[in-house]
Amino acid sequence: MTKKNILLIDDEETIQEVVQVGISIEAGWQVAIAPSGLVGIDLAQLHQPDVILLDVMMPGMDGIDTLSHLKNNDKTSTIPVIFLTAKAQAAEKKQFQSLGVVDVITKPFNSMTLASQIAKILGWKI
Amino acid sequence: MRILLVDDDEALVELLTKTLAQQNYALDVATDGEQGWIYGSTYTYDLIILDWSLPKLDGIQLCQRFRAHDYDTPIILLTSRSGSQNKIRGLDAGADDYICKPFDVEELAARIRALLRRLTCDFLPILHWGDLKLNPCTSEVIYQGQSLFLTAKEYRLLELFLRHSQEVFSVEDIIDRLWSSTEYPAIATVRSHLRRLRQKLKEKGFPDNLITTVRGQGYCLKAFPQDHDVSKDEWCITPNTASVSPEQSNKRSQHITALTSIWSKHQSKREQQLATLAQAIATLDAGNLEISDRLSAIITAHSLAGNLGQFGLDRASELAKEIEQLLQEDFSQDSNQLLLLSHKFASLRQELALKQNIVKQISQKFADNLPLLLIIGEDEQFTEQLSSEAIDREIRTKTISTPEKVKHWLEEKQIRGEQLPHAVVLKVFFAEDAAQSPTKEEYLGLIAEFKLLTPSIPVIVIADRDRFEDRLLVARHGGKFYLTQPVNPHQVITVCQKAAQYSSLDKKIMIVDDDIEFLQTLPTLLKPWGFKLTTLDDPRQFWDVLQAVAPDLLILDIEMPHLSGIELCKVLRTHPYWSKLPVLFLSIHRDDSISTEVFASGVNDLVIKPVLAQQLANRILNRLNLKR
Repeated sequence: MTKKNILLIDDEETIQEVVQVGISIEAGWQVAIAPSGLVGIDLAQLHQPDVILLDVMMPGMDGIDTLSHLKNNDKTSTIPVIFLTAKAQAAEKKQFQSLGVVDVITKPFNSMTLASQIAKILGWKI
Repeated sequence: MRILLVDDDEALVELLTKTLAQQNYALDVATDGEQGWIYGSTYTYDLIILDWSLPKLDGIQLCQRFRAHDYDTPIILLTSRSGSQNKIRGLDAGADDYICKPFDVEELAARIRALLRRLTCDFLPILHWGDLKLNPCTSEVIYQGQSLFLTAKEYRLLELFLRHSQEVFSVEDIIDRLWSSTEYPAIATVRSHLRRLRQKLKEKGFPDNLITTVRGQGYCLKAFPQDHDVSKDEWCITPNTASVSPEQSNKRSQHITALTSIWSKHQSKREQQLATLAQAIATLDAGNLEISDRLSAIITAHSLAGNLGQFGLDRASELAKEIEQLLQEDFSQDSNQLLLLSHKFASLRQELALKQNIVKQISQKFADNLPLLLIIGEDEQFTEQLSSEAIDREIRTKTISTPEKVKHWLEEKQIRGEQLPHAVVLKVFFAEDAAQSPTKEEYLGLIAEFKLLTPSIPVIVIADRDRFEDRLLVARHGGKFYLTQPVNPHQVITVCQKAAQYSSLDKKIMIVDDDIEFLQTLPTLLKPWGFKLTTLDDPRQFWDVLQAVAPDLLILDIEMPHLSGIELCKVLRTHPYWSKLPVLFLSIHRDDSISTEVFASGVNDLVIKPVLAQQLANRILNRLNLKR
């Protein structure tokens, strides 16, 4: 399959590195990192990633606000978004999906199977 | 083992060179038919892989030429031409096997192993010499249950002697067999590899002459003493460890190294986060924590909870999560909350101090091929001891304190489609005076939930007393084993291992049936049980596929064209290795006359079609359990 471009929007440096390592080793995809919602929106317009992994709980502009900006922008509205969120919030999965995210991946996730989890959600083949 | 690959597809050659080298084969590559003939007729190979479409001389012509000159080396033909006519042409030209492009390299590797076994008339997927086992699928060498670490050349030497246990090899023969034509090792180099291999074997307690010198001729494998008891364990099916390919294993080790380095890099940040939390709790205790500081502490705990879980520190992650929730509560109403918060924080520190060996934690987290044991209970000392014993015996563990949390965890696992535990252990108090919270009814309810899962998960109950009525309660709710305290962690884990073996997960089932429609529905029908299914619609390929797959159980249709299930079963029972393999027959006939003939052939069970998935799965599980 063609190499996928992933955009991760998460303020946690550890999570950024774990996602980058997991996805590049397991699937060989490119991962661009945005440490905040604002940077994420810019990068999404610029790079047009194949999917955006978006952390829900971030200081400043949180995941929900970031998602709404992405969905209201013609350049980014069709890019699929997957929420990354802690266990307690997984119960809100349905609510999140009504906002326009394709799915929710709960933290902590298994970085070894993260790429295949994304591929499964989006119907990609690894 | 030495292989010749004749193929002009550069990408495929590169892929196979890498894959076969990882599996310890020496490989020569020729890129056209004439070159293939020169290599094949000059050097000795254990196996030849030929592409059908080759410049100068095509694969079919080359294959015919080898056979016309009495070369009996096994040949695998690679081709993009599918269809029976092409297969027949390839096999008639003298090829031993035929594989269509694009193919799975793992399948090719399995076929190579199957052909190499046939070459030495050794049908065992694993090579043995007493307690020494060499597994060509995983390149693992084990002696008396312990891994033997060999270099690639030492491994190849040992494999050569085990495969050709009756032959004497000169140093020149060894070079010819184990080094590719582009390498020119000195005789002293070969002897030095041999010496080191002998030394390593000797260190493990082997007789020092496992590989003996035959004066003036070379080396050979010492004959295994004939008076040993072969009937006891010799033919039991060795558990398959081939599920992880070398590529996956390589990725896994890269991944673990990368995560370990991320963990080390953020060590000081974590210490800072713990200091922030300690400061916030102390200030809260003094009653003057500002709202902004409390918010900052909540964010810190949230961040810790997320990060620790990424490195396999599940318990620590859960504690950080609880701290995050407690920090959000109003402490002026309940002074116990503050005590609880301090206690949770102390436990978090202790947990992090205990889990110093992060590589072990990460490896455990990702060892998803290891069985998973769920430990339920609030007695931290007990669960910690159990967990430690389990980890020592290569079992992953997950500890959860209450039935309510277990239900939540299970739900999440099911939503995420993740591996459920192979066994569950929980402590229940039955004595009337035991003021237990959660109550015994809640625990019994939980046992029933595990029983109702498809497939059900065995639950081991550790009870405070031994009474028939309590055992009856547990049995009625579907508990697998009932142990009474006092019981030590070693005994508990041994029972858990026994219970987990009932699990169907990863059991390899091979089904031979000419009804293609039925075969196609089976993977979906049996999916909940986690069997690894191999289906085959042509009984003529039975023997090759059987050896490549090495199933735990075989299902045969009775009536098939060319070869009937009864014939296949009879053939199977003539071989000592397969004589104990559980076999189920599928039949559309209900009459008794057929059952007599069926059972006389050595079959273990007969299932009448049409069959329900649950019914078939139960019959499979019963047979697998009886085999143990």
